[in-house]
Amino acid sequence: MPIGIEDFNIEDATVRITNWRNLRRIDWFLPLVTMMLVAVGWAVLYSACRNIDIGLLHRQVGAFFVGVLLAAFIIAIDYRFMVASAPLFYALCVGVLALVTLFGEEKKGAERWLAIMGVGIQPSEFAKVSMVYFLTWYLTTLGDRVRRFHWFALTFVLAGIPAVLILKQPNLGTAATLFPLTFVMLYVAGCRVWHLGLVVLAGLSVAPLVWLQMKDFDPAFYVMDADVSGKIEQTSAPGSADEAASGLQDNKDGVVSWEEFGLEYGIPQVPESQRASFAEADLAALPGRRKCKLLLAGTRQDASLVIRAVPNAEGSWLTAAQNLVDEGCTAVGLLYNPEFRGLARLDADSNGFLTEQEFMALDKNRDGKISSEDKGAFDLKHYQKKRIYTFLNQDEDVDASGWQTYQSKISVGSGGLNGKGYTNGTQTRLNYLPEHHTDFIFSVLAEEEGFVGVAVVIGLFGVFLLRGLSFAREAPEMMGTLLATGVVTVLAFHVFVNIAITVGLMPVTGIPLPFLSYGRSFYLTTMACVGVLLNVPMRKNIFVNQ
Amino acid sequence: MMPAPKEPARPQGVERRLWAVALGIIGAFSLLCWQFWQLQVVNRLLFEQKAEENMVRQSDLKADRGIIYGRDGVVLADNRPSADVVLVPGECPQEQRQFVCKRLEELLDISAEDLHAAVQQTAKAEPFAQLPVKQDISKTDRFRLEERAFELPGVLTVVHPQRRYVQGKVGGQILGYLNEVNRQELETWEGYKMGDLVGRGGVESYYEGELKGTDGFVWVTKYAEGFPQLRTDRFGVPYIAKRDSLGHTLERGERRRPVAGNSLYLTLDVGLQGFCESLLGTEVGAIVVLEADTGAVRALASTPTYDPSVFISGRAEEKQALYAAKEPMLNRAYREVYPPGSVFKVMLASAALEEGVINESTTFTCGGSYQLGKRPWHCWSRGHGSVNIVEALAFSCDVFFYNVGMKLGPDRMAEWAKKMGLGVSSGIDLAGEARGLIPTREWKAEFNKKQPVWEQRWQDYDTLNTSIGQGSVSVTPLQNAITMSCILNGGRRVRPYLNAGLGPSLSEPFISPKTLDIVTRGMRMCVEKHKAPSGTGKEAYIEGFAILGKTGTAQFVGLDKHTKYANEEDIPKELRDHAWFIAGVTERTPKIALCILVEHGAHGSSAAAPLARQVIQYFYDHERPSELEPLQEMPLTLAQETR
Repeated sequence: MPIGIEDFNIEDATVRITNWRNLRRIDWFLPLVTMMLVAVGWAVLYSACRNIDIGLLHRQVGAFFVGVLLAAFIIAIDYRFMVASAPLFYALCVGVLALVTLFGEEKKGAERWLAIMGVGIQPSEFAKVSMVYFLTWYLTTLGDRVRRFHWFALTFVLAGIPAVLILKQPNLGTAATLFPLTFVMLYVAGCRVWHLGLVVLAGLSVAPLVWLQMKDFDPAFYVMDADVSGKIEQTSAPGSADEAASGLQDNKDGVVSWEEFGLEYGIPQVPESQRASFAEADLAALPGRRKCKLLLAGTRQDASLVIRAVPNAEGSWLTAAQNLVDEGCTAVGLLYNPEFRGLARLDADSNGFLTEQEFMALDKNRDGKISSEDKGAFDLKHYQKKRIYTFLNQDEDVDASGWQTYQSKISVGSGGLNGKGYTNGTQTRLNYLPEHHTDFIFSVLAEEEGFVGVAVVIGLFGVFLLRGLSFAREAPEMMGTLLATGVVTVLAFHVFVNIAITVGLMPVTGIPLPFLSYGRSFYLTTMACVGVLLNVPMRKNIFVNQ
Repeated sequence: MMPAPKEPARPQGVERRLWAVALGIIGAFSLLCWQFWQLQVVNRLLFEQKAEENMVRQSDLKADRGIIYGRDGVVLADNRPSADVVLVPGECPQEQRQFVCKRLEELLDISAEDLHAAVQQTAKAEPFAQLPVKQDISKTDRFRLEERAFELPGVLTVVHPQRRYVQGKVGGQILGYLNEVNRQELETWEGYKMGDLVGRGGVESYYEGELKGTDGFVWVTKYAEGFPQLRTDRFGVPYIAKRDSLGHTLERGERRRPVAGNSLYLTLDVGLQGFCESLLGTEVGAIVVLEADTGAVRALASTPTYDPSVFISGRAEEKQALYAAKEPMLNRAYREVYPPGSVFKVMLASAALEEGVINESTTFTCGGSYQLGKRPWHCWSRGHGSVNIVEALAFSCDVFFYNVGMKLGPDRMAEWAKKMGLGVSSGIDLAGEARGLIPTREWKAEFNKKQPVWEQRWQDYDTLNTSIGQGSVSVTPLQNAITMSCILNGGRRVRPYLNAGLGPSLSEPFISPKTLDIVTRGMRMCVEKHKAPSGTGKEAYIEGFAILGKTGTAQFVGLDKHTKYANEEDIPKELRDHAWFIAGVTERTPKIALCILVEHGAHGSSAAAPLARQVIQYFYDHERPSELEPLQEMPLTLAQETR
């Protein structure tokens, strides 16, 4: 006989929101494994960030202690109270996500950050935990009704709302987390298996759509003629193109100046007479110009920006620049080469101009008129297509976006059975491995500690997750089971996908590895998850008369 | 009343589904482990190799180019350390860059703004690239930089060897110059890399293989952003840093030391070469001085000349000047051909005597012209009267040699000319030698094959033209000097050479002593004014020297200029005749053969002969026996002869 939330009487005197006596029953094994993983994480992070900034490790350790406080806070409160409040979390979460989508602070090209009292936080991280609580509440409330298809389908709708908002940011990784979470929780909650089969079939039916878009895809061909006037108007005084350009030059409104931008990425607003020589000098200095396309930017009379990619054939970009002038652009400049892997560095300084994501979002359309707004729901963005393409053709193009996976696989493979020794990973030390302190930190471990180290850490994660599942099994009621299962699913998904990416089993998506990757928001999420897990077995005997 | 505590019920099968989830997790993680096993254990070697390819690069250690010495060990070309200042943005902290650039502006007189812009740009893309600040700085600047080194992080002095042509313009054309290897050569030659320097023209080119040396290399660790570890110590010697800032070893594996190129010892007498070049001055011309007995080239001067250093540090306009008028890069002594004029008569006299066409007592009467059919062929003089071979050589009587040429015929004339080194490659160890031409019947038929038949056939006037070294005859000054040395060394043809290591190479004697004696007497009479006051070469006479000489005045434009211009001085320079003088000195050691050419010098007797006197005077004033061991004489093979 399943029970719903209505079976509990929150106001019952014996049910206390915090009951310190429960601490007697706290599990000792999970914290132990957690501490081992935390220690491994610090050690690997030290090795990974010592040639970048050792301060990253300090901040990570700081995040751990904050995380311990957070976990203690979560442990102290009865999870059933939290689950009962979950609809509130859900509403809050959706609201904040909507807010962030509108006013979020850009970092790493994606609008995932919200400044609260000067501290940038990623609300999408906490959305993961809220969704675990919310789905637990929803499914325990449903009870047996989960076997009816419309209730089953409604689960996906409810999970889909925050997922779409997160996808909008865009943050594919976090959004993708919500799908397996919903899937596994529904499964454990006792839905019909063939309903889940339908979902899988629906997922497979998207494949032809993707295939249709992918079949003509050529990563080398990247033409844009985008109108991003909104961006320019937002950042400089509206008016003539000259004013727009000079506004950029004067570095008003915290925009990267044309001058600064030009030094790094090209030649904006050069007198026509000097254009060729200046540009040639810049061209020579452009990194990675081996097989690149170059981006030309021109400012139109109406202060909108035209961006055009040109093949790197000799002289062709000059023709393209001349064409832009003929089309009425006043300031024409060489912008950047989107194929170059170093592009990731672009956003570090250019807060507000065109980020990588925006560059990538300016995709080619059939008729040549492009705008990121015009896209249909199922249309993949250029960078997504490119990631899929490089995933499917891993050996083909190692210079552009396949670079990360390629270098990661080299790091992993060259580690061998025993590894190169702690802090001796050459791929890491010599900066061949990109993002080696965040998304690719597992490659650092694999390189330095070898297969033995990998097996041990994967084993630790496995033990951690199975212990979590055992809490689900031992939980006295469905609510605890679902909560623990949800948390385990979220963490397992992160561990699996992150590690799978480092060995080229999945296309690159920004998914961090719990306990190892640098990133304070995600570290707090992980610690909160640990707290939620520990909470479940502590309360198993609460209804037993004392 | 409390509600009875109840065991919370769970839907059936939850346990089973939880097991399924657990199995899913175990399965997924096993998949990961399997993939790691594939990468790290099964394919380990492949990835190790790729990691190695990533991080290890071969860094060149450039070999020094061989040094070129002149005679007596005078250095002609060597290598000097050239110090370039570079800035490594990755080692210059962001906040100090502005200051460092300012400081460099004060010290090195460069633009701080431009430098700062370049630094900021490079810092992002290639932080460890060496940004050139200033090239080839002076010693003073280097010391000033050293003094300030503590406040100039990332500023390095990179020292590399640079070719130095010590003697400047002297012998410039013989040495040649260096520039970068081109694409085609890169594809076909072995051991050359992009940016390597190759010799162009002259000895640098001919002995490229000897001079180049073998580059060494060292395997070094490379960061994704570039090399941070190539350094130059305070004495300017490049080295590879042993460890990087984190203490990891940077140099890996074996290093191969560079092997410097072989030094080249030339027979070229730098003093004499310089003297000859200054002697010609602003005239365009050439002076060749050979050791008659060996063929060693003592001077191979040609004006105007150039300084090969222009190609190393010269500005664009200096290089432009090299391609301007008068072709300073062309060594006229062996790469340009001229009609030999009367100088040709030395060969003709020897040939005629050897062939028995004439003997010492044969005389012809010169009445100022030779009658061929209806047309008179003039002698340069109004008439020499009855002359024998000795007098004909001394006074350069054209009519005598018209007669000799007609008797000898064109075939034997050409054969002998080639025997004595005219119109054939001399075999000198320099590239791009001109060959010249001695006309023959076959040549004329071939050359005029599109003309009417009578133009193709060899005519008597061709014989006459050839016998005074006019018409189609063309030779280089070097070839004339070889002919001269034949007379001096007992009738043997020498192969001229510059590289002392090659050693002399001579043919068997092919002229009888008797003939040589007659020709020698004629040529001495030409010079010795006390014996023959009207000898054409009397300007070359030096008291106490046994000098042979023969003047030549080679027409290169038609005769009508003499009728067009009343006085000889009125003839424009570019229309005047070329002045030749070949000379030899016997009874001295070493015997030398000279050939002097002054383009548009008008008269061999007045323009060229006085130069010969000065060259001979200079030569024997400064002559000391060479410190080098005399080398074994090699026979000049037939192949070389007919090349």
